[in-house]
Amino acid sequence: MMSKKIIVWMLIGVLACSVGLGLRTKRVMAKQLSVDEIIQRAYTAAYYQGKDGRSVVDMTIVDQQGRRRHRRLTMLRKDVENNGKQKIYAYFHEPADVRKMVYMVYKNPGSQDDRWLYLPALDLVRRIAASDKRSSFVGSHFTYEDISGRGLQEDKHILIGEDKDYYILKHIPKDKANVKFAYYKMWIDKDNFIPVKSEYYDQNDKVYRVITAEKVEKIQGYPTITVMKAKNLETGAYTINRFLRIKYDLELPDRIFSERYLRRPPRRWLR
Amino acid sequence: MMKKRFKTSLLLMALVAIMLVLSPSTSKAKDLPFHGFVEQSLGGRYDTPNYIKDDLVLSETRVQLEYWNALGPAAEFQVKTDIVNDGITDEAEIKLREAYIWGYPSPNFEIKAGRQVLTWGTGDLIFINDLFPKDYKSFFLGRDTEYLKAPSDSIKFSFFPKGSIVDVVWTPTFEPDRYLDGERLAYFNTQAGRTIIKDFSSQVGPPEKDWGNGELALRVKKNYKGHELAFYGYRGFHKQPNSKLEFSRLNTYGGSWRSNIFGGIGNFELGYHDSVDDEDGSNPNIPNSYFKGLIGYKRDLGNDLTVGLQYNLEHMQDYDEYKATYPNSKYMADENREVTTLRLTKLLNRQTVRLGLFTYYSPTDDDGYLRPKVSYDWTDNLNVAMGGNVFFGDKEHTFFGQLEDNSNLYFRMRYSY
Repeated sequence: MMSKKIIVWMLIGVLACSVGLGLRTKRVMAKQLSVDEIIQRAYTAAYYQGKDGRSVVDMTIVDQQGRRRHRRLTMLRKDVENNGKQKIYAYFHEPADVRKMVYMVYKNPGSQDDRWLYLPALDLVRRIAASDKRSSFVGSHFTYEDISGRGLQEDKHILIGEDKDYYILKHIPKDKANVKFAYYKMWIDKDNFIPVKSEYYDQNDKVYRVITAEKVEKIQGYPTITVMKAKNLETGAYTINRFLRIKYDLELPDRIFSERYLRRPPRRWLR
Repeated sequence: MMKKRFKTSLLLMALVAIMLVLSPSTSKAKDLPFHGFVEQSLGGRYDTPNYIKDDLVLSETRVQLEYWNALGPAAEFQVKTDIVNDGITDEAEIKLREAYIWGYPSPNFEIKAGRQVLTWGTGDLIFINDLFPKDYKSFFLGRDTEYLKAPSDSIKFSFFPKGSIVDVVWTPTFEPDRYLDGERLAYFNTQAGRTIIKDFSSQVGPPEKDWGNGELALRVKKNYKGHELAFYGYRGFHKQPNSKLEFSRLNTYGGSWRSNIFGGIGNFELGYHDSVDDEDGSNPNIPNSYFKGLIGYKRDLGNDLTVGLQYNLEHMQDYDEYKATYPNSKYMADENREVTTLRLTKLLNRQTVRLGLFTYYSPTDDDGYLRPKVSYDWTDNLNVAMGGNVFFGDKEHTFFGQLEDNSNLYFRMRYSY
């Protein structure tokens, strides 16, 4: 009788301990995460941290001959729903010929995004037909998708392995016609779900493009990529993005993402 | 003498500006208190007929200086001025392009007062409800597209009720287009019965500067789930002089729609141009009233290639009266004028090379206008561009046909800072 009770209590103790351990170390719990949960968390960590955010993007584009071009823009972002609809406002500071231009996107996952470009010299609000999300973002080695996130529904996601620090996932596009890559692999940090590396493979399983998180910092408690690099392995050309003056949860008003503020940039939020 | 001295001082100013930009101590252009560019443009006819003396249509050095500053938290101002040395007229000029104060003391109301560039409507280089001044001369001569829009001295009131925009623009002194005035560009003259090149701008009489002769433009716009809906109104004058070289009255009403559709962008715009000085259309000296419509679609085809198409219809309201009273049937306009446009844009070499073609073609007038352009961002600051303005037409009196002898090619180099 006694021994039975002791065994029961011991079992309860072991269970409680394991639950407690599980709660204390994320990794133990995260091991049980499904592929879908991993990619959802990584997507949030990369593109939906906080409910809104601002950063200044300092972009250096280096071609195969080592020539440098420079872009600088302030980005405001507001999530309508986590991992879903999102509004983006990008104000250009440099180069000089695009200074004061504003690019605005209403991201509509699963359907066509709404995009506008404001040209201050003409006072013209142009609607942009940019269905090719794999085209280069402002001439850099990043694509529009790298900047604002590739729709999760566009790929089949497979967990192909993990080590003590990273989940390794393989993403196979459902529609191969629209993309250059056959698939890409992503390394996701188990601690904070930041995607630290993405490798893009061609039809011959050769990696030709790689995106790396060069530096990750905690800002207002949110793990954030602050330096990011996209490299073309065929030519050696690359682009480095430095994200400066990052701030989350600014309580950005919704009205900023409208034609009114395309014409008159909201300097209070761009400072 | 005065002029000469004026010109010299202008050039000195321009030189100082250039030196400021290029001197090593300010190698970081962003440290400058002002922005802008320095550019040199050169353009000329490639097939000059005998009656036109000059091959050159464009030879100018232009320095743009832009200064912006805040006036406290709820206002700002901007001054943008062009210093131009024109090699064709051999004159230097300061052209004030923008100079405005913009106040926004309340979240629902703004005032922008002063010289400003204004644009609205959905057309791509076709304007139905945008009656703000356009500089067609600059456009045809190959100046940068931004110069198609001329500034106006206006006060713009904006209200923002419930997520919509209401703009009221009052221009106290009528501002016409920079129309074909015979200076530099040949045009068709009905009296002569052929194209001539003779500046008649001094004979044109602008409306008297009365309170009642200003311009009033209105737009109400709402973005409804990605569908941009707008309504427009205008009270003022035809932007180009009539055959009496005066400006007759014009009121316009219209609406537009623009949205994502079929994987691209669609737009639709309608407008009624009410020529109030000639309600029944029987005065041959005053333009008739028109119904205007536009439908457009553009799409990104991938690999940085974009295609845009537009169809534009202008329907004369009282064609029978027009026909009955028009003095010379030979040069009579059709009841319907159709214009189609095509825009192709291709970016290459990490978007540093831009190939562009914009074409107007009118199947009813049998004429057209091609605007090819190649532009290269040599560095982040230095851009070189080459392009053309090629006009063709079956007849000499149609809109683009009359410009055939002005067909030109241009080259431009611009340093932006």
